Amino acid sequence: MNEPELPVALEKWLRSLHRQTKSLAPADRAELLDGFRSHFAESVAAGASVPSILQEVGSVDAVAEGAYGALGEQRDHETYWGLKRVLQLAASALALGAYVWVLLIPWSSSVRIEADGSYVHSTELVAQSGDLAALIGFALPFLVTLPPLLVSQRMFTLLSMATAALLTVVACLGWISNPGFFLYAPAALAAIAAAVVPRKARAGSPRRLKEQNAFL
Amino acid sequence: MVSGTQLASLRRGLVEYCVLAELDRGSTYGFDLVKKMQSQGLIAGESTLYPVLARLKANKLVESAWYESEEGRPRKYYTLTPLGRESLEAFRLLWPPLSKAVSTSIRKDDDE
Repeated sequence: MNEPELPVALEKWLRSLHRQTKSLAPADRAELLDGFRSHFAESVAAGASVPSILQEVGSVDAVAEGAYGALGEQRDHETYWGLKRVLQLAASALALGAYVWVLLIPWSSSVRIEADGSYVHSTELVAQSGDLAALIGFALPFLVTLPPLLVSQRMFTLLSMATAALLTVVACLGWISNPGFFLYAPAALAAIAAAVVPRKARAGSPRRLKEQNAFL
Repeated sequence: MVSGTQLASLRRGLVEYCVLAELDRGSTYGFDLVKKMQSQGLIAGESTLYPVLARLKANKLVESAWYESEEGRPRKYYTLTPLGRESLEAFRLLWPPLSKAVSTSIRKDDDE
């Protein structure tokens, strides 16, 4: 069914509310705007003048603020943002742990024949190799987990997805290259979780509803 | 002093259940709901109600859909869901003792 058409001033008010509620979940935003649209149409049909309708509904700012309050976006936003940051931090810690572990992996081994004819086996760890390319290369998965921790929320999503993708590639290198790369798999999983957790929750999850009912 | 935000949250929480109770009497459209609740002194106007309705829908306590009115005008109707009815029933049990307890708690000593 087509939505009711409204006088220009009321359409303008709705467009303004649409702009000012862009952080709401799309479904909540659409529901809110539909409610006001239907209400305005009824008011017009009941003979109310446009100025009186606008006066009754109040400023877009106040309505938008009320909508954010009612739909709990700010609180959920902070909650999920915190969770994403914790997961990203976990990815960094796991990547650092994997790097330290990699440093302790034997890099090369050699056998030396002593004067008495005995064999002396010696093993050199990655950390002892002095191979700068290897040391930096193995550190890269850890380093790529850091930028998302240093940027604003707007950039976080993009960077955390890039980090998750890179760490996944690195972990998969374990199959075709050095199995040491598998050590980055837990970090990759944490980074994927950080990337996929929604930045904003849908307002009013069943859990929150239960909490609310428990309080009341 | 009680802040405006605290009062708004308190009122909004209660209004939600009043909306559910109103919808429990039958599906209706927003304009009608605003008028009823305004006359009961529960809300100041539509700016309070529609965010609450959006929240209730997000919580799956109400459903909404466009229907054609008798005058041929598209109208958004709101209906209580089974979950909404369940939530309302729970509130109906909780509210009387809670209301009594709060009244007792905030009563001035010289009222006794």
